[in-house]
Amino acid sequence: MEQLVTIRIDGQDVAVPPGTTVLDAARRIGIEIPSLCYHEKLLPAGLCRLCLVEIEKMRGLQPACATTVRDGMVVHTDTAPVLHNRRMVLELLCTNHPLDCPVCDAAGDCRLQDYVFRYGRTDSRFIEPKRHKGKAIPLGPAVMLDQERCVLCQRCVRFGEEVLDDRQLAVFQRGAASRIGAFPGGAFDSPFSGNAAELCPVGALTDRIARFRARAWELKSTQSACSLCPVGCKIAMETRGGRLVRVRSVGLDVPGVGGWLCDLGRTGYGFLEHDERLRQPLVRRDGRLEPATWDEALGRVAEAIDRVVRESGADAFAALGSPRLTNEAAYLLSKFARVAIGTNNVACSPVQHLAPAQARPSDVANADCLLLYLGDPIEEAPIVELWIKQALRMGARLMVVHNHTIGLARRAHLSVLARPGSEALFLSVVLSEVGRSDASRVSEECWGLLGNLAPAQAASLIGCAPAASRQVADALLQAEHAVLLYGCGVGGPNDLALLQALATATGARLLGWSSGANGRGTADMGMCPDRLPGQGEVDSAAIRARCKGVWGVSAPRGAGLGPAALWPAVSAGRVRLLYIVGVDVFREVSEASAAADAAEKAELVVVQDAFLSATAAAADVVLPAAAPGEEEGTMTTLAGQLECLQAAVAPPGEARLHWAIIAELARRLGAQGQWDYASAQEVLAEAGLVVPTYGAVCGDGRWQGGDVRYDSDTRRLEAPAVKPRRGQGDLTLVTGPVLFDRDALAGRSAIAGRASDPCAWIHPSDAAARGISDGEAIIVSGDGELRLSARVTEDCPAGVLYVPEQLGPDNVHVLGTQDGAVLMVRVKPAMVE
Amino acid sequence: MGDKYLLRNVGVPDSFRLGVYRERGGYQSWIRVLQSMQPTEVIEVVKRSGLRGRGGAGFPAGMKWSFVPKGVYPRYLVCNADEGEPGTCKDRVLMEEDPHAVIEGIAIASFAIECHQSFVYVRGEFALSAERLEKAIAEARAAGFLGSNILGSGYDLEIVVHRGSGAYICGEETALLTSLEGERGNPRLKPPFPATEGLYRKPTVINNVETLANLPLIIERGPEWYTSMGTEKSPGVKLFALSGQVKQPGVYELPLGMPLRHLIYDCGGGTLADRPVKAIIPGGSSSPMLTAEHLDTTLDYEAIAAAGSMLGSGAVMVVTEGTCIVSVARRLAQFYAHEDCGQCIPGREGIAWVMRILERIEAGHGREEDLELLLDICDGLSGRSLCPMGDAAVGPVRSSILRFRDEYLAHIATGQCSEPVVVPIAH
Repeated sequence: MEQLVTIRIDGQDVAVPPGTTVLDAARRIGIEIPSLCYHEKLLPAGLCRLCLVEIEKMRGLQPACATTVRDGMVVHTDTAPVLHNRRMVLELLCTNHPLDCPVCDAAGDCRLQDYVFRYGRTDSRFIEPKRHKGKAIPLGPAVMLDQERCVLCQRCVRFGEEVLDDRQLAVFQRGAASRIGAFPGGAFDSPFSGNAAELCPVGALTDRIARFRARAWELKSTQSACSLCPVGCKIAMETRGGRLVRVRSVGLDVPGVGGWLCDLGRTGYGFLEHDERLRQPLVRRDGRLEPATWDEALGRVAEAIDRVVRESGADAFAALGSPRLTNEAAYLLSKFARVAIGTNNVACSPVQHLAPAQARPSDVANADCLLLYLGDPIEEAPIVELWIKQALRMGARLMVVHNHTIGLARRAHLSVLARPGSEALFLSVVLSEVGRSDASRVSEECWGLLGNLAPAQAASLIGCAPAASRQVADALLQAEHAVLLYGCGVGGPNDLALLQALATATGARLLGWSSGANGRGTADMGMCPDRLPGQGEVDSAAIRARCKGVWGVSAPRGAGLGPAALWPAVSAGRVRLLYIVGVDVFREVSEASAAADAAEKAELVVVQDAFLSATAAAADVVLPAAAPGEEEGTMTTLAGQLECLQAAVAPPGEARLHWAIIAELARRLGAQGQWDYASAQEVLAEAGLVVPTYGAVCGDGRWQGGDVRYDSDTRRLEAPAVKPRRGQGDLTLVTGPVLFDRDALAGRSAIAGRASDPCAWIHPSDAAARGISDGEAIIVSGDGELRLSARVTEDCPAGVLYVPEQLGPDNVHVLGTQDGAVLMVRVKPAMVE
Repeated sequence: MGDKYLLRNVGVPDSFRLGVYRERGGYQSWIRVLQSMQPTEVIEVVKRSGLRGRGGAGFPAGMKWSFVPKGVYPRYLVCNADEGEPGTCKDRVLMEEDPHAVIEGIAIASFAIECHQSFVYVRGEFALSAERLEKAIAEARAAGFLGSNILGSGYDLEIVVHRGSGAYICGEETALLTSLEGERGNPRLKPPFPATEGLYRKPTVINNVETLANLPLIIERGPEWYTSMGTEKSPGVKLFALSGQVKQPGVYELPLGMPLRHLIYDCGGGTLADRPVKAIIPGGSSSPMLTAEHLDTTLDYEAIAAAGSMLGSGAVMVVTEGTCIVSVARRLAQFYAHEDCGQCIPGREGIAWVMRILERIEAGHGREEDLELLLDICDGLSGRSLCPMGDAAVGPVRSSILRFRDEYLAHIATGQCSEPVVVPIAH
């Protein structure tokens, strides 16, 4: 324990840790020292001079924000000079301020307004004409600037410098002419730009989506978590008249790693009011989807299930759920398949590749060594990028292994650009190097598989420097707090097994994410064909017993069909009924083409979704469901924290909650066991009995969220290999998610416009060889064909075609699946017709 | 005019060349330091000389060096040659006419603080100064006075000349460092002070050109020689830049402690048209105004402070009867408003407001209550801005109101100046 320092403020003693500022020490005992430029998450700047206080034995007034406590310090915050200074600073600020509170979004939530009322003058001594500056300047897609309201606290500028390490804003001009702005020719388009508006203590930076839509005091705030990506940031959803006005972060005023929010979370909820939202059930009559009552729609589904299961058995039914579903919906979908139907054909689509989480956000931010493997946080889990940058600021070593150049690679101390399909081989070599350094760190089984790997030979297959694997191994072994991070590029169980083995061998912690926001939670809930709730294999006796104890019914034996095996089974007529919950399998997943072909052969396709998606449009029954922001429930973050989702607005029309629809369908079928739940909490309470790690967090029915503890769960390692190639072509296709157009939700928000146009990255040499110039239209051919614009860049390695995944009728999935193999494609300029 | 020490080489043909400097005894002190002194001894000698910083603050130079924390390397010495205060032009003479003396001083100070990389931050407009310094550094390097293993001593030193871009604020030491690092030259919050965390967050000593130019003399002649001149608390010699309404403006070298009258009348030849002195700004444009009553006040740190002003950089500006004091204050306020960085609220809004009120009074739209308002805003600026800019802007304004209130009131009452402007000052 550190020795505390005692200081006296206005006659009150307070003991605080060394390094605390006078301002923070005062706050602890309820003494407010006003400040505009000070912010808990930024370095003290001492710019506004509002926080000046008197400190005995120090000459003049001192900035409380930048003065750290010393034992025996005596501080006065209420003397005449201190009060004079506050009054003067506020008067100075108001001299050229437009005083337009009646039309300002910040009114009622404005530091300047509050302080002027509390400490300022009631009259004005300023008779000169006011100075004018720019108004309503769009700084970027998310933030509007009013330079006249700006107090130049520079919080926004400092945020860019200190937190983002990406300067897009600066102060221009000087003296009284000073103004904030974006650099000429540039824009404030960082994916974190919205934080600047929230940091703004006045109405200078405003949220462009929320602008003029509500007064601060009219907003109703609902605390929830953002379920648009696997980070699961805490958010406050602010509504007026039942409509979402804006999303704000929670915890921005708390020092530490949390509290920031990306623009996807902040401005990405536009899908709530999208035209394609489903408001009532639809059923196909005479080939056309027509409105129906819930009774009719559910009746038709129940009848079909009843008949098909009787005729062909339970395995003629298959369910697919989105990794966006809440834990409650995922749990009930898993239970529905296993209890109400009697099949293990229940899977998550797209498939999620995740190993148990071993690190918290603060472990990443405080790490001294980070290995980032096949992930690009900024596109996949944006806030992770800020954790990494915090670690970098503290001197951490960053190593990046990927198959194309990501932004963080530029800040990495070591960047390995592996040939697509050889990434896991690189991990294997690193693991073998660890074993060579210290044989006791690597298991015999592992050594048996990797012991004879020749690093030099492997390096030539990988395309990296021969010393790279040794350097990575050494860095991990030397580090005290290493974290292995992995992302959406992880392709299968062997990647995870290698990462787990490497973490075990080096003492590093493992943390990663996959494409779905709740991929971790839906897997924990058993939305997997080969795993029951609790991440147990379907044939594990202990897990089966636990499920039976709660369900009253034994789970079926033997693994069910996952997405890859499902579509051939549908085509072959073995699976006749499809229940697709929350995922647009015709667009969002890599088997999209196969799915679209096979679905035509299914007898009944039921789609339960928030939108009339491409899949829903082809379905026989469409059940309207709630979207994030409308549902209560929980999600499990990438770090294994259970976060509570609250409903800020009601679902449109007759739409219902996913979990409630599944339970209702089970009741219709007269399924065995418990299907009456009054609330999502009740569902989670039951899930907690089946999945004890969740029960430990919220088994008492209270619903507060917390950390889910994971048992070790090591996957079996396979012999190292380079992935086989598939397809006729000379460029290797690599794909990766795009933040602002990643899925059905983001793609239906206005922010989808912030994603770049559908394009393909190609190396200058490959482009030249094909006569392709930057920006030109090209045709990419794999299993299908896709027209994109070429982006000629050295960020794409030679021999590779990188296509950012974007939703849309013709997206990269038409080129074919990349599961288990690397897909080779051909590229040519689009012919001028 | 008395003996010349700092200006000893000024006026000698080709004084800026190494050969001439050496013929006149140059670099002997540097050779002596390298061959026979330890860094601590150099610091001790300078402490005993009582040399005070000549940039304006008057802080004892040897003491400043000893604030560098032990055991933290690298350390940097930065020579502040951003001489931008209106009225001040003494460093320029040294850099243009005697650059080797400045370089020798930098070398001695660098040795004293164990620094191997020094910088000279030269005011952007001083093209000739920068050129002469660069050439002199090249000469000194070629002759083995700089570079690695200087004169076989094992000591290495490089000096880089960096030119500013015309911002007055970069003369403030933390702004200077920010600018030197390649950022916009904004002052930084203190603490941390440059001595502990300065350039590139390393211990840094910032000394004025004139301060450094004193060092070869002090090493050569000894601290006792230095303290034999000047006063007890303000020992030694000082350059004074005399300007304003005097017959012979220029840079004069005097021992500290000479009366203002001596500088103005004996050195400067008296006032233009022999008009009576009305106001004296004794230490650069930021120092509070004195009046004719203070002509016998002596030019040393203590006496000028006792009179209510400061010796500052030693730039003495003389204002004679027949000059509108409101106009003088307005012009200076305009300068400070123009040069303010804009970071802190008092500096940004306060100085601009002061300027606009003074402009209004001068234009004939003043109100009596404006004087109390101006004084109140001055209180809001004094000691409360992020850097000393607030105090600098307040200096001439507050003192002009306190010492010439009747003239202000007359100006406000009649809407015009009772004394038509004869000779404008401070462009």
